[in-house]
Amino acid sequence: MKRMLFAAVSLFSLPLAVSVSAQEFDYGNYEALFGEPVTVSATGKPERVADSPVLMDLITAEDIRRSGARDIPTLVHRLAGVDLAHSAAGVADVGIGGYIQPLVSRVMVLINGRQVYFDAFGDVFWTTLPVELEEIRQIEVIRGPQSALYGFNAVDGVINIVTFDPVDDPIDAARVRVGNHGRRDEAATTTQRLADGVGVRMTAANDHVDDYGMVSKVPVNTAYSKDPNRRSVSFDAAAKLSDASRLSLEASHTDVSQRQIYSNLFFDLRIKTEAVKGGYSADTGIGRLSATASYSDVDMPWVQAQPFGAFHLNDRTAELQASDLFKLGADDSFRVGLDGRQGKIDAPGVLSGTLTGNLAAGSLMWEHQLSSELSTVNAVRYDYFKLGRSGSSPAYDIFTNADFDRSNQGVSVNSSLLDQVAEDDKLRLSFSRGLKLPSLANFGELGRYQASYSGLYFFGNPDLRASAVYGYQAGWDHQFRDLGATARMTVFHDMTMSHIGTVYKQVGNSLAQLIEMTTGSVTNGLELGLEHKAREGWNWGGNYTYQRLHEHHDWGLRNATPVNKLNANIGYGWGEWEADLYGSYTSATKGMLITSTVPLRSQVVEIKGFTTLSPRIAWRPIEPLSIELTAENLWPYQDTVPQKMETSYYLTVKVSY
Amino acid sequence: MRWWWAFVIPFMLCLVCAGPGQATTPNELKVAVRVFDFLTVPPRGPTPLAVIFDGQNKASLEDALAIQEGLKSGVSSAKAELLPVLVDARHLDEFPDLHVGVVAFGTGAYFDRILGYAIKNHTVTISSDPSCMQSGKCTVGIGSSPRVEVIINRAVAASCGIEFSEAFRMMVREF
Repeated sequence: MKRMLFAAVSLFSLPLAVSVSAQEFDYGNYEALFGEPVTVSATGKPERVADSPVLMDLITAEDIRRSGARDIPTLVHRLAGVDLAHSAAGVADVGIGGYIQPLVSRVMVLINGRQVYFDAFGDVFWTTLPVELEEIRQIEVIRGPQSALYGFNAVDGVINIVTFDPVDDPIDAARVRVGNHGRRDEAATTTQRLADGVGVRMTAANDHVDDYGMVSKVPVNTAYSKDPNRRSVSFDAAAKLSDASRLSLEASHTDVSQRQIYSNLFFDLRIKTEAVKGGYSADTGIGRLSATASYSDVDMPWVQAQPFGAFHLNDRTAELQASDLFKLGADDSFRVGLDGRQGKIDAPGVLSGTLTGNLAAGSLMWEHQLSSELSTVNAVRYDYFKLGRSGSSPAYDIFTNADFDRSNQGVSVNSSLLDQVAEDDKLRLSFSRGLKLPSLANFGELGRYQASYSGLYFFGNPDLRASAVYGYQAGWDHQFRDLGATARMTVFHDMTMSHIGTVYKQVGNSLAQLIEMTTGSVTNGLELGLEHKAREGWNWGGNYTYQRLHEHHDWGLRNATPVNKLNANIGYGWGEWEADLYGSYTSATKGMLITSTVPLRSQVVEIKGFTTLSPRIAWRPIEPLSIELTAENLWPYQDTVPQKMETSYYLTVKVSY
Repeated sequence: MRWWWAFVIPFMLCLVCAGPGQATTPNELKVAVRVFDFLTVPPRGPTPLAVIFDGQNKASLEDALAIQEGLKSGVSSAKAELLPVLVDARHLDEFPDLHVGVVAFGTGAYFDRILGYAIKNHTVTISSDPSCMQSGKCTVGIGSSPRVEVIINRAVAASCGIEFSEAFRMMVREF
């Protein structure tokens, strides 16, 4: 019966394969009209970022240019409430709202609306994203559960990376970066106008750095040393078929090799990704119809894992999205969306059989303008997820394929209110209910640790269920017009009803690890920010985050969450020169250290609070050329137990033409 | 119309009219010409743009000349090359088939005639003069200080057969 229901919902969604995707929105012209950034990510409808009822930060192309950063995690870490955990040189996990764990992410990440969050592991492999900083128009960071728009897993926030339009925003640039630790990065991007209203952008990049920062350099660990290498090629084309319709096509390939360490367990892996996405949008008599179809393949031809040996992994995901955006009368805007998604993963040795996850979802957003000062946005989404497993599994498996014939479903809600209290003051109130779905690996992992790592069997659990996450936010924005600055204060309270944890169970004659739903947690916090941006003269800003995570049972989350974080930046631009300084302070945390003894020994160790300073100086002697000297952090620090982030210096030469 | 619009419209008009008050500012002109790009059928290529003024009002004439100068000195839409045509509101009928227009300040005596012309010729009329919006004679009212505000009069737009793209409608105020 449930299978029939899923099939019926999927079939219903296919002919309407139509979504509001960031790519289909004319950012450039709206930004030129209003003289300020615009977005569609906050609620699914186009709006000015300043009018968004959700807690959203924007990193613009100009911010990126002035940042000195060479990757997206470094950029978003400078925002309030964002945490990083490095697991190798240039490899980091990103958390929002206090939840920062290796190999687990509760933050949905998208490029032009295409999900790059890796459902199979419930994580984001940032180095595999097929986008260079020069291509990015803006990075939109939304905090708090956003499942009513983005579905399962957008429970701590959403990061949407929006690239420039290949038709309206030609980007032509070449960049070379050299630095210590053998850093060599090269990238080039060019945009070609093929016809009136038709453009294509092509980008290629190659990054290399020598492996560094391994804290425990014993032979059993150094055997996993790997110089991080990344190659990326991407293609982004669009055609304006008429004044009211647009077609887009994106394709990309990345090939990444890197080492990663989690709780002192070493991995050496290669990740190859291929992705293609097509989109169509049109203004019609029934509103703005949009459709996207995408397919991605994530292949890990080798993963050498200290605890369980070598394996390979292949994941394929196809997605169809459809939406209609329309306005009724003067005060009511609606978005109706349908989403169908299928994921399939094979990883013999660590997963059982071939795991599939089929998802069908429907959503509705309604914005109502109560008055010129007061508006409300309400959104609801229903997700139906069908798990499946096929193929054979080892004799010691405790589950059958029939055990995986299960479903998870649930309703997500977002509700917010924006009040323009005075000309310079805005009040934001929001409530949200998101859903965190276990990853396919959580459902179906199956294997055995090496003898030196206990030799235990480990099992996923097809009976896991989606966990509800509730978020409450209240925020106040104030414009200091004389200063040209914006101040923001937000208090938040999040509740996760249950987490995924590991328990030990007797299986047959031996002890085994089994994944189960466990107790939940609560996070309370406060964010303060003040920011002034200008192209010439002084730039300055800062933010402070206080957050406390309370677990019903200690699973290590509260230990990993820094309580106090402070970011500050100051910069000055004069003529062809620019100088910027970015600083941050993160209070002490704790991390897990696992030692490969028999039996395994694990201990909680302190990670000291740390301060980083990252200066940048840039010179533009002639218009197309810029030369930039950057230090990523002036002294080493650790945000995880096994990885030290050493000082990195870069010299970057860029030609933009 | 709902009762609360009686309070809302004056507030919005205050937003629209915030600023110097008696002349179309360069920023308002930039906003005005860009609004044309968001029509469902936007003007393309060389397009005459009516700059409508009251020839008997010196301030109105000066505003129209400033608008004309602004358009000649590079203020333009993304899709069309707008060619300003000074049109004295008293002689509107002598200029048939102008489909986009900017109404200068001080043209109030001829608002009814301007509306009649707009309905007859399906002309989009935009003004930063709050009284044009107040009297429901212009399609679009704009302001640029302290921030850009765009207000569409739905009744006038419907009378003139003018439609804006759905995304644009969601980003501006309508009444």
